[in-house]
Amino acid sequence: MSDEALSADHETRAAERPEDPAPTPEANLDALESLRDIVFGKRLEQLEVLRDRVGRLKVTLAELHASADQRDAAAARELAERIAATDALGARLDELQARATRIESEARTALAEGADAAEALARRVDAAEALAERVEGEGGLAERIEHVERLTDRVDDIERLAQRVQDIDRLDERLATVEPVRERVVDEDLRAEDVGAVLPRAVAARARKDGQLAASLRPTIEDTLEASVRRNPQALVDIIFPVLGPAIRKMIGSAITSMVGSINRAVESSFTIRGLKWRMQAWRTKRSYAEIALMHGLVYRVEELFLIQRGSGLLLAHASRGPESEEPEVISGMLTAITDFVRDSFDVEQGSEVETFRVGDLTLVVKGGSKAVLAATVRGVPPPALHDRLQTSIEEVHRDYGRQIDAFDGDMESLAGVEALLEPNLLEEAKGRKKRGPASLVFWVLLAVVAATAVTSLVTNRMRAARVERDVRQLARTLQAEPGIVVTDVHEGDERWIVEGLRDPLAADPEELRAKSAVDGEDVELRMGAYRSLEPVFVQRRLLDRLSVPDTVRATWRDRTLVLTGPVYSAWIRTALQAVADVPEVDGVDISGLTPDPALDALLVSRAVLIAQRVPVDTPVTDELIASVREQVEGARTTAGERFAVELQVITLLPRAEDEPKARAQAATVVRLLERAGIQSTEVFRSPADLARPKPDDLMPAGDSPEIRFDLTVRLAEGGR
Amino acid sequence: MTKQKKVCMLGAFAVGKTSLVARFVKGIFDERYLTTVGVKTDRKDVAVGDETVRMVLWDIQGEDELQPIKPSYMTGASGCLLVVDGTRPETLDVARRLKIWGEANAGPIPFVMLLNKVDLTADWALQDEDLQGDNRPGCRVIQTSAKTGEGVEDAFRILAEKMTAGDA
Ligand SMILES: Nc1nc2c(ncn2[C@@H]2O[C@H](COP(=O)(O)OP(=O)(O)O)[C@@H](O)[C@H]2O)c(=O)[nH]1
Ligand SMILES: [Mg+2]
Repeated sequence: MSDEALSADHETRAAERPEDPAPTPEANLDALESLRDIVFGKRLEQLEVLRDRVGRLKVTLAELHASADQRDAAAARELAERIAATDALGARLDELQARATRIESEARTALAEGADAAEALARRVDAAEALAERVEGEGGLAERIEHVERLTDRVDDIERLAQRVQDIDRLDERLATVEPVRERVVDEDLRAEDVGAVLPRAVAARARKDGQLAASLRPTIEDTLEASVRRNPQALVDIIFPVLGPAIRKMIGSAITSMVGSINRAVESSFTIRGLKWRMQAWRTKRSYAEIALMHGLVYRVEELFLIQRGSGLLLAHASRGPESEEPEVISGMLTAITDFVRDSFDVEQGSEVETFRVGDLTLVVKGGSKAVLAATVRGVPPPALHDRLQTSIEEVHRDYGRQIDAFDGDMESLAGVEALLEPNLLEEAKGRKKRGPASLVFWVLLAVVAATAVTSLVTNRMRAARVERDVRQLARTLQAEPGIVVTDVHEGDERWIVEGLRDPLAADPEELRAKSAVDGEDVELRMGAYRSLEPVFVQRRLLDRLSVPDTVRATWRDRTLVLTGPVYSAWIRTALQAVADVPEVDGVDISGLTPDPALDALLVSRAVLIAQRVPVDTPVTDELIASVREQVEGARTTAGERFAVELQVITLLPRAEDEPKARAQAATVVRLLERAGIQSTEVFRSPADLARPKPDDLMPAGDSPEIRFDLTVRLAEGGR
Repeated sequence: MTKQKKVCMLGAFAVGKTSLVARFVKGIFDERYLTTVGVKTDRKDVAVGDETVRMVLWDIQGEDELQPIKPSYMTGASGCLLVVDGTRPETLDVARRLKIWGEANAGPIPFVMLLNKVDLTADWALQDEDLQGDNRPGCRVIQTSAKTGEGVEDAFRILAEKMTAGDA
């Protein structure tokens, strides 16, 4: 209701009253009624509207309350209060209406009672009006509504807040589940355990996705590998060898199997008489036919030549002597794959070639150029000159056919002339008779084995080096342990190992010890200087050598004392004592068992006399000479008795070869004459070469001209010792 | 006139590369599964018009996907057979990757894609729409079976033709 409207009502009332100074009850009632209609009708209308709005608000509030209830108890309480307030307002409005109704009834009564009453009623109405106004003014429903609206906003806020709180609750919940995870993340051990658990799957998943993982791991892995290899190469070798070796053999094995069929057929069909003989031999010796075939025949022979395009492995040209491979293109490809494999796998320098594959008697020689590779299959031992030849040949091929090779489209005709360059390399050097037949095919079986071995040997080279070192060091220890050998240094030379040391000439032969060891003679050089060992064995042996102990004497050792027993000519005892005294390593000599024998002394003397009697060859042999010799011999025999045998040697000294016939004739005469006189003798001729090496008992050096000497040797008779 | 051509077999593990070569070259199929190491070469002549193409087939033995093939394998190749196992759709992805790898190492050579093991109809797992984009002028797609021989001659012959067409 607007203020304008109210003021208009007042004007109306003011206007009516002066016009009706004595109102009839009827008129008053009408007036009252219309007043009431005016005042209350509108009020009621408004109240109705308000009530309506309040009702709606109540509903809204109730709803809000309900929802707020769920969300926020405090807000709900506040809301409840507000609602209660609104309720109170509603109650007061009800009360107002009730009072208005009462006033109306009172007014009716008043009308019935009199005009005064109407007056009073009018006053009461005014009061009611004022009351209504007050009601309006006091509450300011609009304000209230506004307030409620603000309240609604707040409820919205609260709602949002509640939402937040709910969110936070959920977060808390989630936090509770996250907490153990956080712990795991913070705890390094747990984390390591967790990562460990998923790592394999993670790696696999990533590897499936792309190569990034491998790419990023590669440097680390390579570095680690490199470092570990550097620190302990043997370990890697030990790991790789068992894996790679068989793998390579397997690879080449598969290459072989494909060829074997046709080769076997070829071999079977090549039944010559000689082939049959070899087959028998193979059967007898349980070796392969091919091996036997190779044993006979040639020093070497270039069997087949393959000119192969680098990279593609396509066959550019092929030359052979005798039967050739059925599918040279396949061999060419396989060969390329094998050499590629070797190069890729063993990091052979780019462009450099693995030049030979060899086992036993079979060799594949490979010479590479930038565009093509020449491979020769050689049976036997290829001479170094062959390598040079093949090298020259591949260079010629590059020079003359380089452009054609670049443009090669698979048509071998485009390189028609190149065979002419290759054919001169089909060399051979025969051992004896010529050999023909299935060699070329047999060769392929063996070549495959050769290749397998060669590739393996590449792997094993390093392993082999390690093994050689181990064996050499073992050999050095063996040598060191050997009496009379001292090892001073073991080191690696350019080509072989070098073991340096000293050796007593009486010690065991180091080469022999080496031969018994695992070391190949080509892998080690033994550099041994001479020295004298002071070890008892050597001291004793040297001493006895020097003493030249007579046959009649036994020499034994009691610790470091030399014990001599037996009969001996007296002069030797002194010699022995002297010799022993010169050797500080020998404590002494026990000569209590030596018996000086006068007979031996006498023999020694007569021998001296006899040797003094030497006769130039050109002097005639006289009876006196013969008689004198006989006398000496018989005298010695008598003295020596049964225990000793006395032998006469007629020694002819021949310082010049041209005197020999004359000297021999003379010696024969002497021997014959002695025999006639009853004396047996032995002839000995000493040539110029013999004389160049004097014997220790050559007391008298030979002169320039030939002479005959009479020499008595005494030795213990058989069974006399 | 006879022309040699290097042809590389490419494809995932156990798709049938070796079996296809054996079928094509020797006309045999061996159910036993052999894996070996390294590269094996084989030879087969194919007549194209009045020319003979001598295909030198390079087959990697027992190659597995974790072990990258050496680029030298592709050097000088004139053509390539990409083998897919029709019962294992993942081998198609491998073949596609190998095609890119092969072209990177051997240049733009003709490829023929073989969807092998077509005899295993019950297990067949490739739909035509899977192959959209594979069957292009540079790369024919052919269904084959090393077991029955179906499509094998065709596949090799088509590659031989493409390789000689490249020469002209
Ligand atoms: N049923 C069936 N099996 C095949 C076919 N081709 C190959 N296989 C089999 O699949 C397996 C793998 O073949 P293989 O040629 O070694 O595969 P590679 O690893 O790609 O060389 C072998 O057991 C074969 O017998 C085919 O066309 N049909
Ligand atoms: Mg295979």
